[in-house]
Amino acid sequence: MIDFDLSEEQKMLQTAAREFFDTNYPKTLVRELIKDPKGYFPELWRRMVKLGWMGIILPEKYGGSGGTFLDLCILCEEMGRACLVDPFFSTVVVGAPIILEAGSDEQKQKLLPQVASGDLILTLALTEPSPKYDPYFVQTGAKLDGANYVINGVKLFVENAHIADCIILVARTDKSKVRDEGFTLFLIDTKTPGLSHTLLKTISGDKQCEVVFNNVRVPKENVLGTLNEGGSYLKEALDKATVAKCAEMLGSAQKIVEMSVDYAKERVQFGHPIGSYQAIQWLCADMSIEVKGARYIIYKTALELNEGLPCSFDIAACKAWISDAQYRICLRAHEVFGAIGFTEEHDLPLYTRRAKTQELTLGDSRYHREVVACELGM
Amino acid sequence: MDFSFTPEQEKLRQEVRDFIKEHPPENYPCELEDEGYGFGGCSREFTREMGKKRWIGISWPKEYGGLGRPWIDMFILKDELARYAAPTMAHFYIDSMGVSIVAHGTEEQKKEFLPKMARGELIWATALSEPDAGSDLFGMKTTAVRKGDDFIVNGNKVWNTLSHFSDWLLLLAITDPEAPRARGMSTFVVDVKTPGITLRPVADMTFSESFAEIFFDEVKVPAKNLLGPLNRGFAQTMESLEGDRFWGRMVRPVATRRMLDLMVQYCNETKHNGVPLSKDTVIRDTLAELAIEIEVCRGLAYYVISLIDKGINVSLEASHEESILKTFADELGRRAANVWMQILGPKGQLWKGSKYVPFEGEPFEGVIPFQYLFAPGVGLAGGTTQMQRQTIAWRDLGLPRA
Repeated sequence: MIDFDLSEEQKMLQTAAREFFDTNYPKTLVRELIKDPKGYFPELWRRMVKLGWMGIILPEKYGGSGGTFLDLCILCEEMGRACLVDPFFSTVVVGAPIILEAGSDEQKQKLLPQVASGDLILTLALTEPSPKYDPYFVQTGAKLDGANYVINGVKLFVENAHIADCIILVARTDKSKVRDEGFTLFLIDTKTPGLSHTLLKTISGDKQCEVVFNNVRVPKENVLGTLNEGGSYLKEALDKATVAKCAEMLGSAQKIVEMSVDYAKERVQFGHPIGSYQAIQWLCADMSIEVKGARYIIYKTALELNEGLPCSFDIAACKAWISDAQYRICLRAHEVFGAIGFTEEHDLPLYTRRAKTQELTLGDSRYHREVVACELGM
Repeated sequence: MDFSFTPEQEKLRQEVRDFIKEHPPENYPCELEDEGYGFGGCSREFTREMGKKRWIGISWPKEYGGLGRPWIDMFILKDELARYAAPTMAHFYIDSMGVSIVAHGTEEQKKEFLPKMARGELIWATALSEPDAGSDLFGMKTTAVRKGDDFIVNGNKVWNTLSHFSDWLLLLAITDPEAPRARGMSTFVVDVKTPGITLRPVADMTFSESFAEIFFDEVKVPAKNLLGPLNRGFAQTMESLEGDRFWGRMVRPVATRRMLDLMVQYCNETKHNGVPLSKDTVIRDTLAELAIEIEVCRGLAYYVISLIDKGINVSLEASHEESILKTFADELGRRAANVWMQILGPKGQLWKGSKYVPFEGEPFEGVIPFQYLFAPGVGLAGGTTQMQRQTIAWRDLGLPRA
């Protein structure tokens, strides 16, 4: 049957997360984190660990709570609503699932409990300098030399590399293959000699890095999964990360709509609240339509992923839709707020800048519309 | 959270497919062509076939000729029929009138009308708007004055879709000129053949006469034809527009997807300078965008039916959700219609029967320019897009009135 309601447990998670962020994560903290070189507060991180969020989708045998992908999306939505800047996404949403999917029992046993206890920060190093977002454009190579692989290459837009303990690197080990065939995944300690990183200056202040691999030697045991099969592990992890990112974007878009409507009710010009004027009413109505439309496709896709059903069209559709919809919502919000919403002190710019980062992460709308075009059979 | 259908619901879809095999839409010529909404063209014969299956009243009480099934079954039925562009327009207003009569009719009215409507033998139209009363229904002037056992109706209505094909009308008229309009209007069911009624078909931008003007000159409407309580007609009318807002728009996703699939095939098969149109990046991006918007529209429709399925009286308690669907669906339809025209290029302007017309001899011949020309009208019918946005602002977002 068609039912949009969350279960009781899911509602509890949503409420707990919302209360947590309302209490512990004011916008002043967001601004401090943007200025802070590390980009996370260990104290906040610890509190999230205590709530079991780091292990939310990890099996109990690794210290997790065995939650579903849907639970993760609900949590990500609340994080988006709070405008969270934190290593949670790169560690829990992207990194840990890759290890869960590809890792040997030994690797999983060693690393996943540390994720659950908040003692390990992970990130994925996939994309490289290129004119377009292209997850298949990997030239970083890994050559076998005795008991080690020697890695050379440059990765760009690697989230949190500067604070990560471990980087999951995607290297091309079979140069005769194209796209994601011939990929191998490696677990690399960030303190390995030859690995250097530079924090990039981004408009949203989130922590993205260039990571350079200069003859970095990595033991053979650090291969994650099977040699040359890295692409297959990545696909599922990135599909889920994409939809979780969409849930995050839904949360921030929803918050922007609420902020705009609240302001429209209070702000008086020409003797009346501006929310009584049709121009403002229609802007807000359009925002509401777009955010409601997003909720269905995102959670429908989350359910499909949770059940292991094929949903390539839906994943691309979600990311394309929310990317452009949130952009339009931000622009309309700026029109509702007027000049005050254009000041650095105001909360809206935090969301607008972050919205662009989210849009560019894991493929923007044009990228995903091309995926949809292929899915349509063109 | 769940977005799946039960085995029984899938079975209903299969029954629809079987029905379409036995009654292919091509075999039912239409008096009015498929305007692109998704509920097809107007064929009284097809409507009667639906009536034989008791599908018109699939969710009406059994004692009135319906099947007494949940509303979601009506949703599935219409959704599946739209996949084949089944011509169901003739019973478009039977749907909403059925709900109105079940909710507000006397036992006598229910017995007189519902069984015939369920069989598809009684076609309805509405008589609401007037030359001076479009979005502002309170500007209307048609009066119904009590005289003995009758009400005498005088006035003139316009934009009455299907009225010149219909048997009965839902009339909204002023019954208490002194009261504020919201409490001074009543709804009546009126036989189109009543002396004093004149219908004058009006051609729309597609050249087809899809609506008519109706003139009432001293028309005697029996008092027993009052539908619902006296002077409560306005609220009832707004409720009954759910038939338009929701049921008329939930078919959009499937209908537009049908056209999208046609255009994808067309682009794959049509070459220019040796290269299929489907390799054009602008076409790829544009068709992908429409495919995505169709899914968004589907979600908005699913949300409304999920509320109705829970027993919520959406048209009363959450009509803004219907407004959200209608706004998005109508604008999507307009965008899509223009995209198909753009892809067809100069040949898009060719009417059915013209030399060089695309899809010659197929059911799609001439459909795209016709639906393109009808598209601006879609957002005007059943409450304009501007009025829908107003409803969203007031009821969904709680924004203040001016």
